[in-house]
Amino acid sequence: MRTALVHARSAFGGLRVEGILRQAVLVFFASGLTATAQDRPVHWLNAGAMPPGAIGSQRLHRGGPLQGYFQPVRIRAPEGARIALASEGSFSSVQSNDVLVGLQIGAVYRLQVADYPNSNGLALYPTIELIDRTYPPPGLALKFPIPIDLTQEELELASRGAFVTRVIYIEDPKQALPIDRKASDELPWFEAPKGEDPLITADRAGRPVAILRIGARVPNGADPATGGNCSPPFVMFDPAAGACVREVAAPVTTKQ
Amino acid sequence: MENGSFQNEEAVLPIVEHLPVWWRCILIAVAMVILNACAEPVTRTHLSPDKSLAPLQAQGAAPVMEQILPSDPGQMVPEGLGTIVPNDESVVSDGEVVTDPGDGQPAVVSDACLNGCVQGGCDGCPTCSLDPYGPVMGPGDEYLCDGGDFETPVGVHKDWSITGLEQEDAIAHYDTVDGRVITTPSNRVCIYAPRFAVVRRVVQPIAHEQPVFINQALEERGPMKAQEALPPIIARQKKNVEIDMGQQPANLFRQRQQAGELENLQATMEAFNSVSAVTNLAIVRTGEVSDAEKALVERLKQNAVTLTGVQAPQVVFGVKQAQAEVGVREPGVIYQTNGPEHPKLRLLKLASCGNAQPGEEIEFTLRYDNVGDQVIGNVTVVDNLSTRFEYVPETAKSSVDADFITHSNDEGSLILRWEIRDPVKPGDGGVLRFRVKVR
Repeated sequence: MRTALVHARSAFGGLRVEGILRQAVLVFFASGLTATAQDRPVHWLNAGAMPPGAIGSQRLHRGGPLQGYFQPVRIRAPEGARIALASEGSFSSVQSNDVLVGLQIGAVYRLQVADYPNSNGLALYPTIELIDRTYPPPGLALKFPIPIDLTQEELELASRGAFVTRVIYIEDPKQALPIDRKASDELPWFEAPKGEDPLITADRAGRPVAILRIGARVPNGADPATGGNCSPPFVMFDPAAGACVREVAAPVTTKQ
Repeated sequence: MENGSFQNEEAVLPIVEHLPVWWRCILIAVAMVILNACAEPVTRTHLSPDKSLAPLQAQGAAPVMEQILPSDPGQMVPEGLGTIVPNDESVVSDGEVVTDPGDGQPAVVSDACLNGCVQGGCDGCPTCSLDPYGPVMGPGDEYLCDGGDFETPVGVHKDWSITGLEQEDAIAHYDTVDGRVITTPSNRVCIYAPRFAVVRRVVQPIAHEQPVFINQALEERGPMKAQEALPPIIARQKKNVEIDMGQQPANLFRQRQQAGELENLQATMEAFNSVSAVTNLAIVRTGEVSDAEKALVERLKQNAVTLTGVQAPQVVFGVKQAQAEVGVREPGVIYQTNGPEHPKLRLLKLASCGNAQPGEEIEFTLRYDNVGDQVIGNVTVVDNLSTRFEYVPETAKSSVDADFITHSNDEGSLILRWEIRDPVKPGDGGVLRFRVKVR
């Protein structure tokens, strides 16, 4: 009988083994809690002040249907302004203040914004970095682009030396405020709390999808977004018709 | 024999004390958990309806992935919207997308982009496929949902008050001939209506020169700062001075007019300016709290709320657990018990449109039917609207005599309530309609 008890006890290693098992259980549950907290792909390891492109490229490494997808983005500027995107070392000749383009996640796109009110001949070169995409139902990709506003106020701020960072995010519908909105309205915004990164603030309020940076710096040849022929690819759409600008392919299948 | 047993114990215990196998198992288990925690929540692959996997693999593209929605029904797949499978009116091109003739707005994206390929890129023409993944389910934050009974189950008190009716819930309750009160949730309707917002940060490089600016009194030659700061400062200062002139002795007034104090005020304003130069919120400069500031504070409070709870509808008839005859994904849910009487109510909710931009209106239709074998009375349909749904006044309609009442749900939206006046016989039913504007 004594032998049986000793063997039974030795099977669990006695009290020391029990302590080890308790520690193991604690470690297991602690790891489980960590796994639960990581379900939502937040960007808290990143900061909005990181170099352009760093956050988007890290997002690509986390996987998902992002690489190679052209996310429709609608860029709006004040009346009279002209928006152009960098392409192969120069800027395209878009003469509109309302541009619908397809941009890729992770790349940094350099814009040229000129002739905005009170610009005094000055052109600005903001950048857009997509860090996530939308998942619209089929056929609605162009109806629900990511809106990016270049406001008159912020363009003037940048022209006077300020550096503006705007993190665009999709609101969590369960946290959305009951505020009347229209699709044509300028996006509502609020200042990031003092001492807090705007990306973290946006992560708390929803899902960040894009970062707009506006400054007064003039890009040079070393700018990866404009230098040489390595500007990231994009697709132009017609904002009015919602179609490709020059050519539209006939669909393979037709309406049943 | 006993001595032999002790010898065996001594031979076994030192080995057991080290426990290499236990530690290895534990370390492997912990490592597995950590590795799984770092994985992307993409769990299965499938072929998109309009593409084969072979061309994608030939292009070196990533495999077609489908993100599985979390188990939270609040982020469930929208029903009947054709989110994954293109509907009959969708035209899928060889490339990305699609036309939506039902929209009235031509929405065509094509492979054939400018000059046959996209612009830019290091390799000339890197790709012509705008969407190599096809229809993919994403997070539920782009959808507005309404209907069902989630989190806390709805309960009806003797005074007809309702508890457990959370935002987005839509239920009906009724009385049976044997005195029971039964609640029935509707199905859940989701609409694609993403809403975007912005968090901004403005950094003024000149803020670092603030001490130099004050000491040298460069305000006359610093148009950037002086133009921003002077108008509100001067206006406020003048107003304050006028008030003080009337209420306080002249000597105090003279003190406030001293140049040094005026300079201090200007310096403070510039310090605010250096953090966020020009904002729509004047309270950033003055420190006063306005409605806009309250909204910001309220938003932050909302952000701190963690949404958890029961994520499946539960219906109880008296003390018996109800059983669903069809799945919750079906249009309309029927609950029943195994008692001698079989009261049943089917509540179906439909939306007029599967997607909406902010500002657009959507019509919801609630169809209820008595599919049981006995008369039910005091049928009441209650719908707690989401905060992004604004009820359009005077749009509630009912095909039968009903009293329509609205209450505030304390979250910025309304609770709609129809009280059907007449009992509903087996086989009878009615239709309720109302319109909402998407905020």
